[in-house]
Amino acid sequence: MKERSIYAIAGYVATLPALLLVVILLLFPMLQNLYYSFTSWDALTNPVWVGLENYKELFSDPNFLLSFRNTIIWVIATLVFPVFGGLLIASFIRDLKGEEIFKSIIFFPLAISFVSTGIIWINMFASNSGVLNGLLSLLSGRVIKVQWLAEAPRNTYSMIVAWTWQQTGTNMVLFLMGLTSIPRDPVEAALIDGANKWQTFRFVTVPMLRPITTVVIAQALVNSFKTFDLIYVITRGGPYRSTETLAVTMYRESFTMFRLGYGAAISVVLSFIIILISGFYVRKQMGKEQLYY
Amino acid sequence: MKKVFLTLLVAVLLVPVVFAQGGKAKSAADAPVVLVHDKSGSPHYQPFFEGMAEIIEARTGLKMEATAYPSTDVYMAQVRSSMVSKDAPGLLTWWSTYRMKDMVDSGVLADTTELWDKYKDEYPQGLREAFTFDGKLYGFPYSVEYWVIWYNKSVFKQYGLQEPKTWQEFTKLSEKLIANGVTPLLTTVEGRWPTFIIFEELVMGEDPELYKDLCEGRAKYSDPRVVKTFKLWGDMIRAGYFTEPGTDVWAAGARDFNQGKVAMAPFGTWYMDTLTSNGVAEENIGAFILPSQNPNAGKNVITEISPLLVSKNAANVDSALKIADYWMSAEGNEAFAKFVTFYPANQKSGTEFLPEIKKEIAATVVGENYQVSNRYWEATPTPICEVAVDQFAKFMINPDSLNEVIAELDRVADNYWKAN
Repeated sequence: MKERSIYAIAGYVATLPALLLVVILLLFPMLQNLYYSFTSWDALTNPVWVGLENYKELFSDPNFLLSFRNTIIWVIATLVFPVFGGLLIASFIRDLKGEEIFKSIIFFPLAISFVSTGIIWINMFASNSGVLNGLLSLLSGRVIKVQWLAEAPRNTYSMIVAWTWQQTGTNMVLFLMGLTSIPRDPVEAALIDGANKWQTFRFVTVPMLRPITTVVIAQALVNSFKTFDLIYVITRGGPYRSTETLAVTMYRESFTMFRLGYGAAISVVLSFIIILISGFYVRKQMGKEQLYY
Repeated sequence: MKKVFLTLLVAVLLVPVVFAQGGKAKSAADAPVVLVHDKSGSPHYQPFFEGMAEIIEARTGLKMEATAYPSTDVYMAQVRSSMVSKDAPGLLTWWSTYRMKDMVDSGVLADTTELWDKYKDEYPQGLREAFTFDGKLYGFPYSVEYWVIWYNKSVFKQYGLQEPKTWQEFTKLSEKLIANGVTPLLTTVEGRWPTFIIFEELVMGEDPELYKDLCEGRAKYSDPRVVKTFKLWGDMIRAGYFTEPGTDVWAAGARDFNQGKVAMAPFGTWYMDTLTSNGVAEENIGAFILPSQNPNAGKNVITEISPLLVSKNAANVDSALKIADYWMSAEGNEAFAKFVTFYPANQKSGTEFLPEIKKEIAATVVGENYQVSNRYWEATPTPICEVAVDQFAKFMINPDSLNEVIAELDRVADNYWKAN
């Protein structure tokens, strides 16, 4: 008994630091944030309880609704381009000669920080002396100065291109892992039975990739809902707030306007949306049986 | 053996908790005055503040330590939350007038009225007003900059242009530049804040008192004179006076300036560093102050004030105030201005260290009795300013949005002034 007690105590003590970190750095701030969302607070005076006022303001604020719309655009675009693009690239380069080289090149942008990526694409999209306009001018033989970042909604689409450039690599790697792990027999059987490559991919390969697809899409959903870094570096949510997403609006209200209670309310709503959608998606995909594997 | 190992492991993990304790605090009198700042860009101010700390120690015997923050956003959030506690820094860089008003209102700043009164004859009234709230003063300026029109001398020479003394001369030279495929002015909506630059110049150029009234809520954005200014701005946009809204005004903009693609850049006198560090030869840079489009408005120039604030809650606030006393003196103000090569705020400080072009600008401002007005970013309340810069961006991209922009500006301003 004594020996088992020592084991038990050792186990608890060994996990204590990690547990403390989670409580101090995650759970406690989350609860504190929830409290602040019901207050009016500017960090210079004590928070003042205002109840649901922040939430009422939120749902009637046209800027919040614009941010929500932009966030949905980002979510849809992320699912279509980096996710689907990652799957397509993984399917094409698998077993291709030079697969390792292609993998490295496509994965490389992920090694660059969001800030550096933002700066690279600012230079790509700059209307004066930007690489893209320079290339277009060279090819067309006349001066082209497209406002990639100054005009909505082109600015959002431009940033989605930058995001796709960076994020496709990680999805490609995950899908390659998935493709490597699925058995070849069903694929070969389908081909023998007369299915063409697209039919085999659509009806055999993709269903077998379901577990990895669930992970990729869940990850992409969460990341796209909280998109902030790239947008903040490239446009700061402008011009005239046209590229703000919920995360950028939350940041602006909290750390530019110092309306920390309102910013907290936005973060609570955003977190709720992410948990709801990604949780619903994962649960639906995995099924109850698979959840208790 | 396993039991012994596990027991030892538990003990090792718990030992730091048992013996953890903070270090013994120094007394407030011994501790150096902490100065915090966010000037971590180019140039980085840390060596300047460290150099100033040596001078301050030699002159006053007081020690000062500077701490740099990596970004302005992080700096503002962290400093604000520390101001209410005993960990408040002694001195902090900040922004003047309305950008510091909430700190004044929440009582976290030390009163520096006595210091301002001591140096009353050495600071212009306009500067004093920027730090005055309900008859008391807070903080002090460590430098000022003027907002001018930088121009490429080679481009001007090529097209036979002179520095304009009147608005008509300015429009004539701009039209000549446009006719020759050169964009007159370097402007942008990128970064959000630069959109107020032309707005403030034109409103001030219509009537400097209107500009002050607009900033302080005594005039509306739908005032006919403000609407007239917007319409002038819109005409200038349509005529091609400005670079594309998505223009990068820093490295790429300076290169365009150097290559003669754009002739003029309306920025603070600090912009000279941006030009020279991107390859523009100093001898090829000229500057003039934009003439007023309304001759009755007189001669006007925008100033940008760089303040240091003193925290009331700092443990060694008395030492911080003594440092502020020295820093406000002609000698102290000049000493730091030399590091940053900005204008000293104290008018009795020497300016021999400044580049010739900056000395000429200062001589013009003082010698020709320019009326000095505070920059829009600080001169108007932050909640209005933050919305305004976005609306100005909308207008710059689409001047036909005039009515929507003015309506929104009035709505935000009216709401603010009703509540305050």
